Amino acid sequence: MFDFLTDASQLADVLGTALRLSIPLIFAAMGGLLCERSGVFNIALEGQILFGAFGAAVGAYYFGTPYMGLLIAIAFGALSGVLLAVLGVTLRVNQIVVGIAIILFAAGFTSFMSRLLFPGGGNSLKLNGFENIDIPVLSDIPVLGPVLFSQNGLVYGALFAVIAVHFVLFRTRVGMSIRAVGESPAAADAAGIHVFGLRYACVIVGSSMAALGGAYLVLTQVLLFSDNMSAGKGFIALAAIVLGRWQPRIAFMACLLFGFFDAVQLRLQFDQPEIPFQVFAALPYLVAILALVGLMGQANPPASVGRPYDREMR
Amino acid sequence: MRRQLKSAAFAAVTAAATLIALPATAQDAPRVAAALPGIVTDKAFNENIYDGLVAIEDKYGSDIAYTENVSQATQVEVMSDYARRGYDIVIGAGGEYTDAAERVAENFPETTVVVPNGAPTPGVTTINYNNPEFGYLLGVVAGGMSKTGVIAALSAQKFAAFDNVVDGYRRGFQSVQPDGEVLVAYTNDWADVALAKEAAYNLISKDADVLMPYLDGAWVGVVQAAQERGAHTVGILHESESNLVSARLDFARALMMAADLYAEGKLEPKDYVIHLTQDEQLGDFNAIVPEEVQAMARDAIQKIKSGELTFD
Repeated sequence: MFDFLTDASQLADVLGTALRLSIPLIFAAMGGLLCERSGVFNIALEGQILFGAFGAAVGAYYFGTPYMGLLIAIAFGALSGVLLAVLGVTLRVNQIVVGIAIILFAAGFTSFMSRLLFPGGGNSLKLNGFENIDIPVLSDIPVLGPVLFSQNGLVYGALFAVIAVHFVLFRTRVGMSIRAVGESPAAADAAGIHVFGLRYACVIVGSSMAALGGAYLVLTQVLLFSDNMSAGKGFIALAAIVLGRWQPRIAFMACLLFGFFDAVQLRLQFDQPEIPFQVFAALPYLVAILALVGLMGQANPPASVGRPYDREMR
Repeated sequence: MRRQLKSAAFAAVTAAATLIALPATAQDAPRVAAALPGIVTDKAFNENIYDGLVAIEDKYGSDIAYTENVSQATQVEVMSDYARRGYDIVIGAGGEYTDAAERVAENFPETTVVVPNGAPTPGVTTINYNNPEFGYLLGVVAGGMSKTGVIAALSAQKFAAFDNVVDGYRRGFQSVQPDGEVLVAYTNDWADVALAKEAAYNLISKDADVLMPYLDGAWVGVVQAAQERGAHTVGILHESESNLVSARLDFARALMMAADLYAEGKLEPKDYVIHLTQDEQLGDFNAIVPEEVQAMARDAIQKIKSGELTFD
């Protein structure tokens, strides 16, 4: 049943699959985490992945290069971030409602526009994507070499995003301000921190990051756009943030965990035809629940997350 | 006063226009609506159903309507809504609509509820291709092409129509390679291209070298994985040049059959089974399929048509 764990080439395949399935989750989780640390719920991650995927397809299709795809994906993500920030931070609309609105809008907008912009619909595209980069020497290591050191730029980008978010949040002055704004915006305001400016910045940067998750799907994994291709990844990223207790490093590991179990379940299914496949499909979520209950104890979200700040309120 | 006159005149013109427009949709032209699990541009099952709607519109001048991306939870509501609005034929596109169709058929006895690819259900008109026959043909071709003796089938969900295809696929494959193995995997998502691609990679690394995707939009991922890793695909719900060959489960044709029967007043709530009767129900062979493998498939078609080979 677990023979793939002992066979080197099969193990490399499973781990490669796990990493590829985790990358969109990692981008989205890091983006969402940044927003929530600044005190803004971003449940629109699902829609932002979709926007990113769509933007990447538009850029790569009309300009013929994946770099333009990346740029337009980021632009779409940033725009959705602006929308979330204007409504959820400035106009103080309920951030959950705004998030759901963005998800629904993204689904409708992208599937409508993809029919207008791509001949024959998005799923007949063959876009120019990013090639894998083999890092010399390291990529020759058995098992780990092909998994870790023979990937494309966006995979390294996702790993860099984790380090960057962690570094900014916990090693810089700005990061401390962000966390302060997420915990107690009134106190931060009194200390001279620009609450609205920081929240806008975090939401826009975080949303762009989530969009990169969609760009990854289009520019490296499947090279085409299909309706609803985010397929629930944004929601799993939200779970990863909670599971990771709003810590970038733990959230990153949670994403890898989800990706790994998704890969393993694809594997276990056809080794065990007598067990219903739904059992394996539910496996990652079961693991998430167990991890939440068993390992994590009480989760402590940023104290002011989801509460729009109003200077006049006491 | 003038304004009132204007609006009265406008209303009169509109009413007249409606009256004139009415005869265009002739009285006996069935109004047909469909609830679809995916999008009409998926180059697979949903597009095929959509083509059927358009063909019915062309032939009968029918009023047609459809809703895309209908989730499991809203199937009953979407179909009931069409029934309430007076559509004569309401289609739940795919086997996963069977339960919803049964409820809608109970609540709206005036409406004919049709489920292509559905399990036989009381009160519902189901139209099925004899799935094992088509699976068998693909299995024979896979048997002629597979070097590893392992082939695979992928779907999103486990359900009767797919199981039947796989049964035929296995039987056809083992008629050529008696010790051959057929792997089956489910992705739980008809449209997730990335996941389907990963599932295909995994099947290929388990030695499968011919893959049969039974998916909607996600089939592209399987074809991509096969091309990258030197494996082959056979098609059943989608047709593509990269396939070794495609079985044509033409649901557009099946819907036209239902509309024709309805126009004659003969469409009943029962299970209609379409057998393999014509050679062109198997599509064109890819140039890489050797002549003797093509001959094996043609031979199998003859045996099924003559009744020498049955799947009951």
